[in-house]
Amino acid sequence: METLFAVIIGLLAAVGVFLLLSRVIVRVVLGLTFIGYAANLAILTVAGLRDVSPPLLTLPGPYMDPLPQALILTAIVIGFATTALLLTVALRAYQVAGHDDVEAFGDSLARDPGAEDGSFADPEHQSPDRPDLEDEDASPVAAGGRP
Amino acid sequence: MTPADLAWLPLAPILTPLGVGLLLLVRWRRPVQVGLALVGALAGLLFAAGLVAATSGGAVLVGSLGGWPAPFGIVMTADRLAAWMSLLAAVSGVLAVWQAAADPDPVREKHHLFALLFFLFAGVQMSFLTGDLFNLFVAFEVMLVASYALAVLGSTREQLREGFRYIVMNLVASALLVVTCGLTYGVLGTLNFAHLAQRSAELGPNTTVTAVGVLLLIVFAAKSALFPLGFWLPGTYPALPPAVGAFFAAVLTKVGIYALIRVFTTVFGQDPALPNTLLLGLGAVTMLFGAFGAVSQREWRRIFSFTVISSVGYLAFGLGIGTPEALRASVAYLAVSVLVTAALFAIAAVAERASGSRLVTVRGMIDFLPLLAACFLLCALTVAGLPPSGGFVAKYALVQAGLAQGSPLALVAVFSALLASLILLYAMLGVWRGFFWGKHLVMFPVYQVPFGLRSAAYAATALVAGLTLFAGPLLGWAEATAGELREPGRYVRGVLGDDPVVIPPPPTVPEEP
Repeated sequence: METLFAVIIGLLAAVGVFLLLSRVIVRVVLGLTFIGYAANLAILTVAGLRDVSPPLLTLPGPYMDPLPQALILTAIVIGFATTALLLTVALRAYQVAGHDDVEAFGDSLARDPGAEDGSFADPEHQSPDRPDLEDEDASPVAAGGRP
Repeated sequence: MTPADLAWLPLAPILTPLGVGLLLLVRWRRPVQVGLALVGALAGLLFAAGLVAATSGGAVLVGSLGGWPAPFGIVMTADRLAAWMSLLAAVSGVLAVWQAAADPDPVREKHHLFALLFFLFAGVQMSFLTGDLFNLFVAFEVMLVASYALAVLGSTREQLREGFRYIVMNLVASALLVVTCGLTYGVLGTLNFAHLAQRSAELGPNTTVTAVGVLLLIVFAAKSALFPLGFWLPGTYPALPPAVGAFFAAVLTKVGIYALIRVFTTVFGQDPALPNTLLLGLGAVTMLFGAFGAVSQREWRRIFSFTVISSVGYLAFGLGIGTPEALRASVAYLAVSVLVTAALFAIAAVAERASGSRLVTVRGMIDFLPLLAACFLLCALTVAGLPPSGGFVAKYALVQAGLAQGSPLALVAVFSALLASLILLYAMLGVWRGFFWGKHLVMFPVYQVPFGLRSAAYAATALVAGLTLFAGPLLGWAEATAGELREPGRYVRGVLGDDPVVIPPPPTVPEEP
């Protein structure tokens, strides 16, 4: 039984990491959800998978330890809240940028902050992301290099 | 008063910001809101100072939630280290509220900037004062959810980008923390810090327990931005509004460091070789990474974000050396690092406002802001660790402890610490030359800065200067703290009492009617 659970946890975590590495924002959110499931199942497994009664005194013992389940419940509630918040951020990014890709965030870390036209600090090693579409419209020299 | 009379005190610094935060959700007029926030922050500071006073005799205060005694219920505990961190966080909180009050931001305030700040304070205080591993996770989440909201509040494109990265990074770390809590419970059968310490000491050196410890190290390294896991920090903090950014930079990474200290001194102290080696190595790389990063940047708060990373490296270095002297130096450096970061970010806020630019390459501002230049000079010396500053005293103690320990890795780390200090000095000189020195060009306008914002920077620098003046008492307190941390038995007895913990037998089955 533990082996089966270990395999399932491993699969869930692998799916989660795979989705996390995607460039599509919603997939990243889904990946985090999968990792959360893997974590909850792991707690359940670590606490011991035994065929015993739930901790209700009207039933005959021996009883299951209820504490790991309380941990999982807390983790689920917290995961629910953070996922909702992350989805809100994703939605806001979609509204701001108009597409559902990490490109929506306009990664401009490689831009030269001193240059007015937003050209790259190091034209030979530009950021892997393309610059913002808006910026391309706005300035004729968006592809890098000073005019 | 006995510790039992003060059992409510560890709860007070948590409940005060929580209550004030709830009150701030009501749409008061701005003066009411600001007044309430200032009163709340000062009340939190008062309680934190009370905690320091109450624990200064070596007492361990324990507040059991719901009257359930440890290890069965959740307890809030305060020993010297926890009280000290609580005080530092409360001071940074007052400074952050001061800056936010002096710098009106109608859009963000409409969306509960002050309330979120107080929820953040509550989470931070709870992380410092909790005595339970799973409750530490809950406290982290309270803190992080507030910080996620603050990170994206305002929805500028930069904030969304950095905020998303920050949220994803921290969620992954939190998932790992949950798994580690489960593993700890599976291995040791308890989650209370004191009980964990007792049981792991009974087990002796044990590879499974060490593995759990290393997992915790990875989680807290991600939270405190140690080298390979700190890539999110230098982008996130500059994207925040200045007041919020100052509190984030000063305190949030130190929460991770506090958790590292707590876990590897109080709880899993019986097999320190592997965690100490890891911390020493990571710390040595982290301080160099932060120092080189600071040189590479040209924006105020980006430079200072990298100095935050560098300071985390020094703290990990001190913790990794593992001797009482090193622990003493780390505790002293914690105070220096929190206050100097708060001061530097306050200075950056004034400078950015005065020059209307985030860049440091404006030149000649010393004519307009002479007092700010003096403040910056003191803080720069503190960051670089030159005399006469509190940073020098703490870094000297760190380096001395590293040399005294004398293992090859410690010597490499000492070399890296000295090199990083030198590079940090170069970075600070770059800021000084770029912003304050030289001749001011007429084409760059100079703006008026509100007095409240300037006075916050001066007050924060005065605290840094206070650390310099009172370095003796500071190191004395750090010594007492380190002594307490070397003896986890005191903490364990303080929480669990003198009698051994008895797990009651399972209840008998009632007869079926």
